[in-house]
Amino acid sequence: MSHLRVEDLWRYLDGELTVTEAAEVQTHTMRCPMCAERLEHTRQLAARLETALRAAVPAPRATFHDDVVGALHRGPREHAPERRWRWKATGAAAAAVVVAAGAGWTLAERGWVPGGGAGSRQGDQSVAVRNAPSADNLVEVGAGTGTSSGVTVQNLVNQPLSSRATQLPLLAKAASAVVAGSAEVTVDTASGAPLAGVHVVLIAGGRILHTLVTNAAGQTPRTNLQLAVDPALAPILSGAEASLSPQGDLVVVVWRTGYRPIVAYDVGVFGNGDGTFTQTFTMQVGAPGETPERVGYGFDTGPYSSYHVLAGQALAAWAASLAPGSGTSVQSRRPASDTQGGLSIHVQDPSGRPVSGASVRILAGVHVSQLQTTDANGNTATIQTPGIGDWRFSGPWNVAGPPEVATVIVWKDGYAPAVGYDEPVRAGGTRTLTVQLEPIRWRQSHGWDNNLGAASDIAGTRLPSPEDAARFVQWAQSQS
Amino acid sequence: MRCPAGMCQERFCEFGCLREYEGLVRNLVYHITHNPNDVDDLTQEILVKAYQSRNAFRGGNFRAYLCRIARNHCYDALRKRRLRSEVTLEDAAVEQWAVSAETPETVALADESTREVYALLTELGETDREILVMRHLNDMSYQEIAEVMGMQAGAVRTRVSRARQKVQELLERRAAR
Repeated sequence: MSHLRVEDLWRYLDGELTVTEAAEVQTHTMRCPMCAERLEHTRQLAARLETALRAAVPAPRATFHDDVVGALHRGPREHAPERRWRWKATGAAAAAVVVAAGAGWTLAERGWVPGGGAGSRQGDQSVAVRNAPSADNLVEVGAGTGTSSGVTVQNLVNQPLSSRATQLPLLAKAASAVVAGSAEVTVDTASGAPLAGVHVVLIAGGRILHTLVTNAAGQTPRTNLQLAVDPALAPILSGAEASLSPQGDLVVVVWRTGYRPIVAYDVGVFGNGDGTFTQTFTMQVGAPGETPERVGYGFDTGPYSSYHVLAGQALAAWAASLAPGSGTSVQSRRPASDTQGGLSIHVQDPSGRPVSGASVRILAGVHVSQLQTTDANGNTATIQTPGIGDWRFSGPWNVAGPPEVATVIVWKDGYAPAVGYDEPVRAGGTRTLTVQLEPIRWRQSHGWDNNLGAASDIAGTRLPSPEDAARFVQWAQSQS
Repeated sequence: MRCPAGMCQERFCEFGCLREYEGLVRNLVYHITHNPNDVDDLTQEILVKAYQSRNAFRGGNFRAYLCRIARNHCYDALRKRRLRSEVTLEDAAVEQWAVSAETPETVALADESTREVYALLTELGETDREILVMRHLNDMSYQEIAEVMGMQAGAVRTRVSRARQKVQELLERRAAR
């Protein structure tokens, strides 16, 4: 009789074995005194570990909970952090959204076409940006039914994905082309002291929008900004009706002689609908020419730090609701490029087993690819798709336009869908993309306690390269 | 208080539900900083920060989200305050155990055994110790821990297994002396 492995004993105690496997452990330990003793030792060790770790933690002061609740009621500035996080804190003002009609749209055009100068100090420095918004693409789309912001994905997981289309905000009704608001940047040192004389350069869509300098308090003046909405999200943003507020992309370059420069690739700017964007940077002392520090919201892995779970859910539901068969065309303010690249999708579950029968569509601007289904090996045929420009990486060095990307949507009933917003498309090339689809039951068994049907982010970490960040710094320095 | 993103399902509520997460955060804060004097303040800062940035919560597992904020905040604080130079893990342990020495004999005996395990835990790497805290004290799944640590769930499982094995071996070695 072979003995039980220690790992199996732990899995038994952790409740990770199936009913059958657990019964086998119980039967075995009844017959095998050695394994019964091991199991008891393991159980004791688990208890001792917990006790030791718990005993070390000091009890909270009696008023702790009340203190926390009191702190929550105070405004952000009152607990302003000597230890601030880099990311934005937002207020609660109304959104200053420029809607897609009339003057707002005109602003969008003037602000984003090559060489357009309104509101930009550096108009002549702008570069040719392909896929810039065009009024020709501004068409009111009526497919969206609209819903309140309180979409609870968990409650929908037992329904076929396609039936959710009527319950989620989909294509935009009069989606905003531009999102506007004000930005303020604060810079301090590692010791928390405000840093004056720091150059802060705001860049979007291949244009330098503002060059600012921090004052004695380490702050830039609050500056009004107009940003084009995130091109990957543009088709599903629908103003007040959507679960997502219109939001833009912004690159912030922070530099001062003697300090390591910082390049922040921001997404979701003004996305909280309050029309303000504040950001704090902590600069480290550094040598000239040191590789810039890169920070980027939306580049991390993980279901919450990938951006826009709700957008993913809406996209997947929308894709599932399309009639099967040939490719289709949707109305979008983002034209697709005229080049085509190939994407071959491999779908697997968290154990690495291929998932057959999964549906795949690729969205790029107005173009939606033909519906593809994975075969027994989890593979699709190569899907040809155009791309849209990823403006986060636009600068004078991308003279032919920014890198092109497309949105990949994968879904199957019983699984959480997966969405990749910015999957690179190489003109004339073919790329294989592996997508993990997580079964709802798998998520339940792995501790998910809400939003079981939330879309996974297909791509892993995709922080821009140090070279890209260095180019932004050089560009900013040349214009400051 | 309803989470504006509609994602939290009122779990992160300032009027009581918040209490559910206080212990979770406190455990991690102490075992990262090892400074009992800072635990209350850091825990409060983390909860306030999580509350203020609740719009950034994009779904998924809220406990993992909160622990990730806590972990980042603690390391940020350590960098700025250099807590580690003020209190070493051993010092902190001594400070804690000095309090428990006043408990009745039966408890003290139990403490002796527990203290031995705690001392062995100090021989693990920081990452392994944090993972064990989340697994054994916060009762988090491998997937949750993976989300906090930015690892694959399989890697977390392997680390937990190795850490437990190491503690077990050290205990057996001591018992054999």
